[in-house]
Amino acid sequence: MNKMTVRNNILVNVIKNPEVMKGLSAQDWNRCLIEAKLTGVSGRLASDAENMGITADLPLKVQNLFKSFSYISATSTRKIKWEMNRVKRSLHGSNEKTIILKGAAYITKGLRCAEGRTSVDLDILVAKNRIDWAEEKFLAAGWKHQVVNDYDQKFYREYSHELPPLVHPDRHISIDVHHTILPVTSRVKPDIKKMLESAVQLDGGFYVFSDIDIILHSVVHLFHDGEIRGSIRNLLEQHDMYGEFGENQQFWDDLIPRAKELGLTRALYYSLKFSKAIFDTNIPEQVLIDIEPYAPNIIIDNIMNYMVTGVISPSFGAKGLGRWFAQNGLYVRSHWLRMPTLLLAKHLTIKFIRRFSDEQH
Amino acid sequence: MPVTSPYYNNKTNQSYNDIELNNRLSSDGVAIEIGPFCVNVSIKFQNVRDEFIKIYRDFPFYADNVVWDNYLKLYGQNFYRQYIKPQAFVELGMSNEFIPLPASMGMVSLEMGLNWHVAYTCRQYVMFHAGVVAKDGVGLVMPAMSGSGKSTLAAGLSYRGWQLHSDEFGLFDVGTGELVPYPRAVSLKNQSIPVMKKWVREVDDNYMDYFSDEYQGTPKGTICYMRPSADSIKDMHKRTKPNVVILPVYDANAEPAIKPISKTMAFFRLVMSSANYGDVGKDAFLSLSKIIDDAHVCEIIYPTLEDAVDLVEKFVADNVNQNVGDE
Repeated sequence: MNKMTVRNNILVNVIKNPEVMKGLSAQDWNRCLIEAKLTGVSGRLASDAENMGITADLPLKVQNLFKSFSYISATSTRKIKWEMNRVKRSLHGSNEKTIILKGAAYITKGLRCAEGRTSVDLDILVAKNRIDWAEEKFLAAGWKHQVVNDYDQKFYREYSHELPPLVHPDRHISIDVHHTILPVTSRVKPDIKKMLESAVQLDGGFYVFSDIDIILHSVVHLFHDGEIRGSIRNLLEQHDMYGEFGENQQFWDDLIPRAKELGLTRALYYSLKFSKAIFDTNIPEQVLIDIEPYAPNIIIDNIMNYMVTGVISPSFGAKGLGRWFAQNGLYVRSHWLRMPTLLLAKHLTIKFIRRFSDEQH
Repeated sequence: MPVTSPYYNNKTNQSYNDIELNNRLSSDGVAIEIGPFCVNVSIKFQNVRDEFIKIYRDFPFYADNVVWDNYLKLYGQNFYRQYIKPQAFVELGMSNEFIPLPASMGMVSLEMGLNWHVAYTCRQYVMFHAGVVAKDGVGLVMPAMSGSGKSTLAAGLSYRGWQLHSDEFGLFDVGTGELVPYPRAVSLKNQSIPVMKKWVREVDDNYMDYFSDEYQGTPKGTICYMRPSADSIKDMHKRTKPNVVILPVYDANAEPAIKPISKTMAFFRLVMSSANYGDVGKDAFLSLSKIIDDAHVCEIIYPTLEDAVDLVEKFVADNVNQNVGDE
């Protein structure tokens, strides 16, 4: 694993060691809070301070802001829980597995990374042969389609891995109903059946992926499917889970073999590497050695270093033209990974034309 | 006379003259404290800086030695939008979904930006879409929809001896049970503009100094901003417990009247007016219940501002034992 640099960043320092908060100047706070808000980790700072018992030592203004952040994350958690309740009610009567993903899973499992977190939507997953059934149930229970454009509807259904998002008009939380974890057109096709098989049931009746699969899903989401720019929160949740699940040696023994089985080793390589580099995650030396063979060639590796550390948080690295290159490079990369070349060309052309039509302001 | 902030215990605010303020606003910005919120403001258009300074020059300003609640930048997004066909774009460090306005209306963008900041980020206080004023231990909350005249009424009371908390953002501290003043510029619309100008002229010949330009053709018609009274600015950290809730109803053809309403109705009107009721959750429910339990409530129907002020003062005098907060 080659060396890379993340410049001394206040937000990262505070996350790594919340005690740092006690010594921040007003200017440091302003920079730290702006970046935390932009990347959606402000609630996390408030809960870290609370957990460490240092809130009372912070400037009064910060205490006041943290109160607001805590309300925001508590409300988000409450709304997600209620939405899960509504989903359970709508899908009542089936014995098949309904899996809750991401934030909902972290909340229900009570994971460290759920503390101070805000989620704006609820992600669930059902087997592909049940997705039409689930859609009918949701529509019957009052959810509405959020996407009404024909092309977008068709695109979701043919090429994506989820239904077009559904929203209940009384609650304004979007639910994304997935049948697998990556678009069906992706270059990597993890076997969702294997992930469904090892899913475990929680008290509430919902299922969650196994611990390793939960991490791999987050990893895939960040390094395959999602936007890396400004997504330090996603890397942080991986860092948290490596810490939490990693207390058990079995987790580390099984991690790379499972990634191999699902074809997700490259994404795991990036996750381990950037988590270690940015948050100094406690990862066993042997795991770092074992993941090395799955690194890309040195040129790609260096480009990814530059792009990811340049844009994963707003104040990181790249500026000006370099930042433009990194952002657009990652945008093209995510689409490249998501669909075959011809489809990509068609999709980007339609999106491009639409930018100039009346549909959008 | 500097205002001492409870948030920045040992830091004194700066006394800038207009030229210094202008220079800071045009460069890195300057932090302005309004009630419980401190926002670092920078403005890249001279006309907007002039208006901002006129309305807000008496507020406390800080150099870069305090923690802000947020920052606000107002600028043209590119050379064309800065110099050729100037358009004021608002940046608040979160999502930017504002439709930019022509730079000539930059002050409207700025005020909308400050509104947005409070509406979307304030959860540490329960928020009411209400006019709030206070006097001698009386904390008066007037929840109402837009167009009911609550802004005009709150502003009117504030130039007749009441302390202006806010003409549209009532804030309530769950922990202490107090109303928190947030005396921003009062946003006057359409026919209330001449009413308020006349109203202020009765107490100060130099009344035009309190008002911004009139901005025509905004989504809400003509808008004019009015500076809060000097005492409201000086007292902006002085809190009062709420003990009167009045629902104002403006009707040009009605006879002025005080109508009794049930506490249940007052409670629901307060809930409906609260922009962050669901976001604060249980604490908001408990706070609102307590406010209504403790408050005297009524509805007033009024055809003119004079009538409204009379009705408010009458209801308060008849029901509240004043000076309760000054013991």
